[in-house]
Amino acid sequence: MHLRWIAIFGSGIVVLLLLVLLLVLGKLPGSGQAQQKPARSETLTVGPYTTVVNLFENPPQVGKPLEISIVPREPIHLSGQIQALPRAGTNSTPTHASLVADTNQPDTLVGSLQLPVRGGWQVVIELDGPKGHGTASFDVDAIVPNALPAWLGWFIGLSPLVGFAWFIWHQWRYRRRLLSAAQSS
Amino acid sequence: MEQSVVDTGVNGSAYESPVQAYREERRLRQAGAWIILYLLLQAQLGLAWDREWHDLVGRDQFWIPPHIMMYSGLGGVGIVALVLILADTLRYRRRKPGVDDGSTVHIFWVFHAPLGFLMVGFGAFTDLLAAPFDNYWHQLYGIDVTLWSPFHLMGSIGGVLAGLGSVYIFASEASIERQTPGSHDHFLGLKGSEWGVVILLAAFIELTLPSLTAFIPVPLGSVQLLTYPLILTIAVCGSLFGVVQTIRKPGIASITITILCVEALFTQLFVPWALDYIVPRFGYTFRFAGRDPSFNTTLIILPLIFFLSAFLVDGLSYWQRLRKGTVQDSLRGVMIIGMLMTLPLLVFPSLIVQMLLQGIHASVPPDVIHVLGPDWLDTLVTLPVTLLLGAIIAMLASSLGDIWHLSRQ
Repeated sequence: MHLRWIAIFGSGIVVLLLLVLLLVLGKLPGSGQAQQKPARSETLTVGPYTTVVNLFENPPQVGKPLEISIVPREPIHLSGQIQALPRAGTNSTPTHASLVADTNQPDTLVGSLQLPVRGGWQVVIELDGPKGHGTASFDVDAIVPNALPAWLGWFIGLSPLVGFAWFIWHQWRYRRRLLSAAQSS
Repeated sequence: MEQSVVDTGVNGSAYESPVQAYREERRLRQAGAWIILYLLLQAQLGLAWDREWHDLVGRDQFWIPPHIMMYSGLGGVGIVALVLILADTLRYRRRKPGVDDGSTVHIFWVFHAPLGFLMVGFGAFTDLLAAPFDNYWHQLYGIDVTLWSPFHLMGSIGGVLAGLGSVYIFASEASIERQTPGSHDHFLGLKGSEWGVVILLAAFIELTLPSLTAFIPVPLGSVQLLTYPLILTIAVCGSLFGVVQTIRKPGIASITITILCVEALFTQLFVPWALDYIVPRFGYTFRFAGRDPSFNTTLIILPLIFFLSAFLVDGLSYWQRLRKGTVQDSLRGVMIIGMLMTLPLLVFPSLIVQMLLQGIHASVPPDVIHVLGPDWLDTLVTLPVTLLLGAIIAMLASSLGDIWHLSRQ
């Protein structure tokens, strides 16, 4: 009785700890900080606003947050959001993030997008301010560095079949021994 | 891995008080087995939910609710298996009653544990290893990668291994109880560990139902080879022959299908509800306008046709054991019955879709129509392959059932 309860509660605690660990790990990718120097900058007219859009990683990497800052050419208080839409040939769904004012430079908006799949993406910027609403977009290509070749993927993925085949063969022999033991008893 | 068939004294040869000596070990293993069963069913439900989530919401990150449900189940399974393996290794070294070479296998020169727990551990490890690779594969090739990707298959192999392992655990417990003097608790004529086997083998069939539409037809010139009857044959023939040979009680295949119907109904009630409830509350959106989560009638009706296969194998088993008066012998004629069992699996799914579409004008998802939609020429082309597979699976599963019936490891 005692052992059974130790096993049940022990396993429950370990499962709980694993869940906490998984949740903590899940938060980690979002905790990255923007680099100081932009990797790509371009001037973009977003409706009535002329802005400089900075990307802090170029080309952006899949699964890593892509930090973006938008600096208006004139001192003006803006708000808005950014969206990433998969371009033709990229099998994914749109992703979006809000733009917030930079704590050090209140006129600058910052946001972070996470591109989930390798390929072409259209980044759409939507801004709102005293002159009204504006939209503009630009393209990026998300990459996965050192991509695993397909053949290696299949090799790794199907490798447990070898163990499975060995196990079937092993059990086939074990069955013969079991049956002969059962007949003799 | 060493497996022996030595007598471990369950009948009282090695221990002063056999019943008492085994009680502690039985409780430890059975508690572990039931926790693993619960966690596997949780993972399976998570998988069915995940399948619909991919279709209707997409897959833009790893930490989505169905993945958390699925991988917490698998992670838990791995941990429970590890705890039991370590506990039994320790108990073996301390020569505790009930833990010996007859009831454990040894592996890597160190560990001594029941074979089932080792298989469950390896299966869960394979699944957890496949998870980051699968995430990476989706990043490379997109969110609509189907079952036929290397790491989905790796995950499936791990899942099957863990499922088979837990059948081994319950079956060995049933075998030990069968050979141990004294009374054991029964519910509706079956011991607790036998119910474990039934639930797991029903769940094995249920596992295939939500993924059935991934088995698209293979073009062969102007005709097509249907692949969904092949996976149904593996699941249905395999599980039913396995359960009949393991438990060897009348009507056990039909009971398994009854449990399957309950599991399938629960899954189909849970999945649309979970999508409707979670998606808006966690800030996700559905990908396609006009395609909302819905109750999949086809997957509820489909298990009912498996009763035909169950009646065949139950009938064969009952007839042979009635004639011989013993339950110890292996079944004869399994290959022929295996072939016959495949016929409803090949013909009826298309009939159900036809009935739903033309008979009651029900709404059937497009992927179900694409895969299960009636094309009788294709059905004819698929017939010989299905019959052959049915015979092979019946033979293999019947042999596996012999092991499950006799083995105490």
